[in-house]
Amino acid sequence: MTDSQAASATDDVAALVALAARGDVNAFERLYARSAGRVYAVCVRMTGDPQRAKEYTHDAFVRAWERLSTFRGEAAFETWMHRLAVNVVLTATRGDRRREARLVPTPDEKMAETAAFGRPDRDVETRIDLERAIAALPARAREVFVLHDVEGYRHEEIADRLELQASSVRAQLHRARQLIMRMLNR
Amino acid sequence: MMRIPVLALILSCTTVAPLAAQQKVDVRRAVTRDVYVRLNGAFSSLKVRGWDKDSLLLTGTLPKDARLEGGVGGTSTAPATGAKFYVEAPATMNATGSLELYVPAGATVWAKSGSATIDVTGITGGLDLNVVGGAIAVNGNPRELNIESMDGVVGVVGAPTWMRIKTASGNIAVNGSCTDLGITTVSGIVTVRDGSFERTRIESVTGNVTFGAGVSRAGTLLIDSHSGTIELQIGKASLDIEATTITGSITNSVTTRRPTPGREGRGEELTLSLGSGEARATLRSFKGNIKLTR
Amino acid sequence: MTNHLTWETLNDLVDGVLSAEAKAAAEAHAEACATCATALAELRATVSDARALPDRVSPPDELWTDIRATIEASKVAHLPPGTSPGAATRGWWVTPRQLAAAAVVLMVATASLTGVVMNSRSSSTMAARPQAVTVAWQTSEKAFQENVLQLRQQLEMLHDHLSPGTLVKVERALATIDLAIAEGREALLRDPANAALSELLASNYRQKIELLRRVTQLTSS
Repeated sequence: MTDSQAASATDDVAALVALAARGDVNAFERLYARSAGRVYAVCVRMTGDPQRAKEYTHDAFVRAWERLSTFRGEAAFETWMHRLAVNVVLTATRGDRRREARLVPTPDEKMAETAAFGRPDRDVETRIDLERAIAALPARAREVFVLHDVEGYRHEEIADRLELQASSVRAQLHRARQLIMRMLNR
Repeated sequence: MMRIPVLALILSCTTVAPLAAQQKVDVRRAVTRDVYVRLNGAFSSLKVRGWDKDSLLLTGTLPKDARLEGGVGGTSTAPATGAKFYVEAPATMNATGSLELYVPAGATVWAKSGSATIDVTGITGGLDLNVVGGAIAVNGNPRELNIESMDGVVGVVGAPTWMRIKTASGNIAVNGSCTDLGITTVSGIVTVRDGSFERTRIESVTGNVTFGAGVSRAGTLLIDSHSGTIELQIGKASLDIEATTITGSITNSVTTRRPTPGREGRGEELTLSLGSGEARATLRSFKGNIKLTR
Repeated sequence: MTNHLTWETLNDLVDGVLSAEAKAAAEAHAEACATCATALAELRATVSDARALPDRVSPPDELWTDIRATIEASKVAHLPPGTSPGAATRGWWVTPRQLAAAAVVLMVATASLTGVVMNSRSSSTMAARPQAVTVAWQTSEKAFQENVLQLRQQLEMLHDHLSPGTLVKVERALATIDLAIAEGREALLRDPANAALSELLASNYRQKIELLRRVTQLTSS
């Protein structure tokens, strides 16, 4: 994308946000079309559950609709939506911290298929196995792994969002990677 | 409803000049490249043309008793970012106005009328077109295209990035490509040809559906129909196909594989993998037949 | 070599959070120790694969309809000007709230049914489930039909604002969908575990909701 195309796309998003903030649902649908894949990806990976991911994606967009007037354009709309979605997931799972460790992958055909057909990729088999392995992680380890290794958050940011010590984040991340590698026979 | 910013809506030029039973329309104004234009009311024909000028031109003719309201926003010195036009005609009059709208190619145009012909060429921004009857024809590559019609026919030639077409009984013909396509019709006949489509979903109740275009690598095609026939023209596509009909039949003219009886011995099912099977097609019908052809 | 790098050290090395001194020591060890070199390479590959996962995953197709229904429910559309004041006093608001409710009921019904179908693992489980599934489906469907009935009654109030020709077209389309829904329902009640049938019926319900929504917006500008 050239600079002018990027600039034009940014202006266009600003226009859509302005319209949607005034109640134009069709404009909001276009914003949804642009950012839903990103939002659903982080929800489905953080929860490991397509049904819950669908609910959280739904909640994130409804919340975005309610708060459009607070979007100032200081970040890309997609980035704003992504942060909102992470908040939705973490708020929802805050009361659900204790779960049994699941070391055996529970094949979820639907999620794997959805992940597989999201975009062309160089190694489909590895990706499906990795997605399944992530889904099978214990909840807290999965959240940390997705935020750090998939989404690129730093330890300190994750500690802040999850209300943990940085050392706990490191420990969970290391544990997640170890479990994943075991599941992938690495 | 869109609010035009700044002080007041301004009709920048003389808009109407009585001319026997007709009146001429002429609105010209400097606008931004991504101007948002809203146009609805009683007109029977609307041509929209994207051009490379930073200005808007609305021209054409309206019946003498019709009124053109609204205008272009902004001040007299800065290009406008929005425009809104409404054509009001007496209730007893059939809409006969004929309008032409020229806007920068990157504009977003929203147009709505009862029974009208809307013809769009050269728009690369957004389009939102809504009729009850008549016809909508779009040529070009708008970034976003939303079309809603009751029985108006719809024809699209080009490569919109995102496209949604909804009719009740209007036929739909799409020739070109699209990244994200959604088609919904009750009884319209749907034809999709040429080009390549990445994510496609087509829903019909009784209308027949023919898909004769390509599916992108790792793309998805989903066609649901209650009683309309679904025909998938495969060409050289590399596809994993899953076809299910509850009480209809499946015909496979592409390979020798035969469908198997469906659940409880009714209907038929067929699973097929062609080429490297990198894309996926799911065809589901209640009582319509499904055909796989070259 | 018997003293290998700890798992924590390997991870910290990959994440670049070791001090310069510790990093140099770890790297030197990895160069000399095949076991640690392999572990480091595999860990790097895992992290790299995670980074390379597609940043988008397509959500279920019907999700937007669900979101739209919720958003519309939060708005209240007023009847067109000229509608009798009595109607407003009785609270006969136009479509969005009940349309949304109908759509949400529909989503819940199809999700519950499809969820049970997708999670069924054994024939004995399947045999035990259809009864419960049918009851859940019928409950949701009854609520949906009541909502649609109310919507249609409210649409009656828009008749003066729609041309006779348009009304005929709308009624014809609704009749077509209703026939499809009736046939689909009957088949699903006979075979409630049929996922394809469930999806097809859900598609028809969505069409009905969508058509009703579009008709109510015909009078808006």
